[in-house]
Amino acid sequence: MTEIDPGFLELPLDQLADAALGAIARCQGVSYGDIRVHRDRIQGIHVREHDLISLSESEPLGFGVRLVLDGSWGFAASSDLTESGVARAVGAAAEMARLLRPLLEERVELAPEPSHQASWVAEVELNPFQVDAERKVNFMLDVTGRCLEAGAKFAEFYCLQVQENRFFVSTEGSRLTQQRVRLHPVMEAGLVDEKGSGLVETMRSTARPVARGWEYVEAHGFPSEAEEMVGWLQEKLAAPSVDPGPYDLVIDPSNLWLTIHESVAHGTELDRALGYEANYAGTTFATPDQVGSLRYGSPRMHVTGDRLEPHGLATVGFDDEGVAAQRWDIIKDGILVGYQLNRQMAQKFRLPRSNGCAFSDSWSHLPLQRMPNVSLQPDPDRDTTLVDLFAGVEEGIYIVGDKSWSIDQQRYNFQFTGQRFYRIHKGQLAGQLRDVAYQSRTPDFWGRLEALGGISAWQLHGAFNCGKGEPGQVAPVSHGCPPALFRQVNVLNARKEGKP
Amino acid sequence: MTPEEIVELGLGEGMAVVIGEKASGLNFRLANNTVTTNGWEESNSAGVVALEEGRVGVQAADISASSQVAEIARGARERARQSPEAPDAMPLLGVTEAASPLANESGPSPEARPEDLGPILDSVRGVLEQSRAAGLRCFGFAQATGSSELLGTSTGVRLEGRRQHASLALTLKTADLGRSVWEGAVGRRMADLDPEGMYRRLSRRLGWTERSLELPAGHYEVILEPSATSDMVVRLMWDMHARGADEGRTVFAGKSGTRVGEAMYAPSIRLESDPLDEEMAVPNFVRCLGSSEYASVFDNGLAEPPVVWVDGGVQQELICPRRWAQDHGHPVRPDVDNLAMAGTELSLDQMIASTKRALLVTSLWYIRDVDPAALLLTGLTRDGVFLIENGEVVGSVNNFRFNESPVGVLQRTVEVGRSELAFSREVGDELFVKAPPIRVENFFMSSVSDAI
Repeated sequence: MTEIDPGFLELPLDQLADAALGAIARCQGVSYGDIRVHRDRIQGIHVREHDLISLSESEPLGFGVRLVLDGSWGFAASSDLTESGVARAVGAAAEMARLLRPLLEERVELAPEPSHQASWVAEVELNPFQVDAERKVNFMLDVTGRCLEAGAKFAEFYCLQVQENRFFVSTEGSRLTQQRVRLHPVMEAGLVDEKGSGLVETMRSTARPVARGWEYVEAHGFPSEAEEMVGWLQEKLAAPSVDPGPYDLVIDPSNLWLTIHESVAHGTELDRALGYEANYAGTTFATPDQVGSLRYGSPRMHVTGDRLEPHGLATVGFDDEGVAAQRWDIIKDGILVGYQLNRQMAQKFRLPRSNGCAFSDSWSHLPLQRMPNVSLQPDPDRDTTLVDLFAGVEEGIYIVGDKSWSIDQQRYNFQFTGQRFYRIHKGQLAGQLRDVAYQSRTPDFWGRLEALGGISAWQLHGAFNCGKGEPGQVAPVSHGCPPALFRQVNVLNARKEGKP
Repeated sequence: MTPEEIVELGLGEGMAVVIGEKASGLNFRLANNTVTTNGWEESNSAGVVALEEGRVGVQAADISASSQVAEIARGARERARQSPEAPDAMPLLGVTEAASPLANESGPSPEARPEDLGPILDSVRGVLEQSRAAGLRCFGFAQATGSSELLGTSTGVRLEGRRQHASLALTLKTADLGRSVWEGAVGRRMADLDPEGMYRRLSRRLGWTERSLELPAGHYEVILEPSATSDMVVRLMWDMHARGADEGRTVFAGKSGTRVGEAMYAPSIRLESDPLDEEMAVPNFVRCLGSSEYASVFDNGLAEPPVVWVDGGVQQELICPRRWAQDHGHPVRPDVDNLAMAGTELSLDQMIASTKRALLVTSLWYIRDVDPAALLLTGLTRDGVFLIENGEVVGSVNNFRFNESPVGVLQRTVEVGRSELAFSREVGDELFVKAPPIRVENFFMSSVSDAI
């Protein structure tokens, strides 16, 4: 059983909490307060061809104090883990709240949450921080070496590993200690067309970022994938460039997760819907007045939010304001039925409780409403396979792996590419295509969803770097989905798009 | 702990390079005419590089006790011992080879404190009141940061770098959220920012949106405002490194060698960096805790002199660390943390007045690579696309998705306006960039976006 890192528990957590609660209690007009001590251990390894380019480790460590004074948020953070550091931060948080109070038109109120006292640890088999760097570097160099031996011109392997520890205490009586581990292995190989076309093609492994340990990296099958990838690259360089137009698309989970992330998960954040991100990340077409009526997509679409999925990147015991992890429906039968919430958003929406989506990426940042694991559920009636989905396509494209992505600030117009594209002809794969990008409008695209893969084809993918908020914050998040068939989606030729 | 104490402790632990940093920042956000969140932060941090016979180990941490410096030094040493020899290994620079300390890095280090909000809060409050009174909705973000870094090396180099930065962005929308305009501003201190002036300009622009027009996808003459220009040139700058060109991976790869010396852009294009530019001063020496195509840990302390990247439309330089330069026959050229695109005396209003028909594009959003080798990007217009006809703005236009390359955009630039400090909306407000409005022919809008 995994235990919380003793190095984190040796920090003066109780003293800092006592100092914070004492200082908050002495502030006039404070109705709520909390302190969050947050330490990350982050190790990055970057290998290129036969060389280790960098091996570095960092340990951001500090605390943030959050309080509500006369209805106004105040937040202050410091890396000074002393009682005097805490006192200074509480004073600064109160000062920020007072200074900004005259600009406040709507008092901060929080939906109720029972107090929790708990310790929560995500299980991993092999904590990457307990594996020798030499073993990891040698493994990665072996993989890039195999790419080169197979004929790649470039080969790179990055692996970012994070262990996150949080200690949270609130004036409402919650006291929570948590630990989770995640890593993101990224292996990429590249070829240049030696026939003089100047074409450069790169391809990335479909390995996923996961809340697992180093065992995931060694078990993924990188050595064989490295060799296969060079063959795929050679085929792709010689493949025909796609003719633009509408196509039936079978989208692999390794690509579809990102489309879900951008067009569904961001589109169903209540803070966006209420304008809190209008200056930066944007808003959403899925406005609160349409809950229960907005047709987001086809009736086959069932999307859930959760902070419970095993090995999910957004999985926790409790969120960053002490709300216990939950699972709920966001889209059911193609209709918008729910949002992602923190305590403030839940209260504004007159809901009895937050669903636990508060998250801060650092001790120095205020927790925001951030994305849980948002997943598309598989076909509930049959265990449909990829081959079954291909069988329903006369002329189409099968898309594997994510690459380029972009969506507008209201989550309507999007464009995605991928790692590999296969022509589907009369229900069979018929070789690779090049230069494919699909472009659509969120409700149109999801309305074209005709068939879903079954539970056996469902996979959990995700990202380490979901951006939102000002100052900018990045969050890790997972998205599960099966492969899915979409009818007549607009496909562009990405290379021709660039020609004036 | 002070940066000086961190550096001396780290060097005392046998580290080759130590960077001590003291930093602070404050911010607040606005939405729907009210303040939403805020924050103040302070930190002390240390980064160390251990060298063991050409092998490198790097560790960094936030620091609140001196004993942590020894701990991170131990970690860096252990990682160096577990690493193969670094491909960029070079002798560390000595005092005479490194950058010279700047005379103006004296006196108290720049700090951001809650009381610094004072000069701007009354003005922001006035903006929110005006917005409410006009039946509009105002959104925004203000931030200020101050930091001081001290670099020390085992070869005796001691260099201090300071940085002070502030920014404000405001979005103004109609009450039904059906029309929207944006402006961003960058300075060194909160007091440099002018919320009321921004609000006046935004109000004028929101007036332009009273007539809205729908235009289809296609090729358009556009005037990119400074924010949009800056996002294009900063993305171009990210690929401006010798390694990617040598390897044939970027748009800077030529048929044989790099494209340095080639007229890649219109003759009016000049891009340069100067760490001593008063409006966008940044440290003038390399601080590096992780080698890449941009910098090497062995180059810490190397001077970052002013550099002209592009002149007369001709690519002049590519970023190149010392070892890559030595091995591949390039000049050493460190990156600099700011970028300026040269302009003319033409104001934006003058450019509008001389326009027969074009789209005026305020800012760009969600820009991503589509074809890295060609540097083809996709992205969207946001919070301000206006149709100009016969010298006047005649209304606002729907947003578009574009598919364009910064190289193509700068090739098809036919007019350049006055360069100013610009808020790169996509890249981030923490980078200092000066950019002009530019007139570009045949800008490709690939599809229409419904977003407002």
